[in-house]
Amino acid sequence: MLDARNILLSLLLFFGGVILPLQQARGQDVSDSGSRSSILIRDEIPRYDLFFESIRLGNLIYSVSMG
Amino acid sequence: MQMSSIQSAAFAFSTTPFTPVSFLDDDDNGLQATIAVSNATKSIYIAFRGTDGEEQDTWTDIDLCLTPFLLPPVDTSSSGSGSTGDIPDTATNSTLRGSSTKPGTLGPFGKVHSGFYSRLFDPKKKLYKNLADQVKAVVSKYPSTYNIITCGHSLGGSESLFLASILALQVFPNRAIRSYSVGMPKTGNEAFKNKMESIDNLSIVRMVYNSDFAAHIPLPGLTHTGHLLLYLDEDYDNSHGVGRTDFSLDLYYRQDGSKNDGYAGVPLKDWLVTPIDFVWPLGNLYPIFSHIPWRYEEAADRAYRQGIWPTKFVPYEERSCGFLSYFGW
Repeated sequence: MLDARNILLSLLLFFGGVILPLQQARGQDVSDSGSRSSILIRDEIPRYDLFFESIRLGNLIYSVSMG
Repeated sequence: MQMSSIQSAAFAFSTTPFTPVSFLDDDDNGLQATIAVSNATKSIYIAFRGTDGEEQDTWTDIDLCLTPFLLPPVDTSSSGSGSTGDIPDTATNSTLRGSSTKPGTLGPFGKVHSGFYSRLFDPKKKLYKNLADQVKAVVSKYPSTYNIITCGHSLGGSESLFLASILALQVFPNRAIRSYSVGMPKTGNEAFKNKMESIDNLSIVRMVYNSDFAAHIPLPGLTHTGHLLLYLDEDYDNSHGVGRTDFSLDLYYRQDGSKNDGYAGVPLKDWLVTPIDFVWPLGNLYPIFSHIPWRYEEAADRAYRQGIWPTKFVPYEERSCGFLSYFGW
């Protein structure tokens, strides 16, 4: 169950970690070039086999780096 | 920069579907990446190592300043050699003043974590160009139907996102590029997020296991980029009193959702982590243990075997129950 401490800390974290950074980031200029393509996959649902292999390789590189 | 042999990688990969092609190991700044091919899924992967307790990783992680995300030019010719120019000085680059852009340079695309950016885009080392050239050489040897995927855990996820943007915008503008990461911290600001998510041929998906602390660090000025796969264990029970009876793996549209598109964002009760979660109740170290990379592998495998791998984004209607519902009421 929620208690007062949790609510207070949650609100502090929310406003300190979410609202304020968003305010800081607002209004920044971003140049737009090169984002159009004949391929459209930005909202693609990830395939399990590709995602799983990517996790596995990402873990393997730890093994390689540790010798 | 040292280009080590791939013999050690070949040994480690011997029981996997991967064929290691190259291994990049920079002793100075700690960046390690490998290019590997899987003929099982017809995919070319570029994986980055995450934070590994090395001193260079620590300095990279704590460099929390924001720096403009400028994409330096890479040679996109078929020869794969030569550079069209140097990385611009971010402090004096004219694009920051809103005037002309240096030929071949793209951006700025918002601002990003300075430590992550500097490691890959160091103007002296040009690791980004080295990697892009290697990827280009590998890709040219395989049919165009092969998938191109950048990936990594934690810090490695952020680096993989940067490389994915180079590949999608400059090197392979007419190929599908996928950036898959796990436990990735916030990497760029809202402007960076908007730009990366607007690139047509770039799919960005990151997975978060329970309350993984790296993904929940409230880095000032930074936000999350891409779609979110959120795995919650059946015994995931943080100090918010959110009890669960079964595990879940849900796919959220760009984390915050999009009401206009009919997609929901992550409920705060499933996402919010407070300092209390780290210390109370005693022994609740979920945020720490949730960052262990092997857990992600187990979680994804488990979700698939149980038939709950998501096939759609969470619909808005299912999670639009009012503000208090976010807190579990």
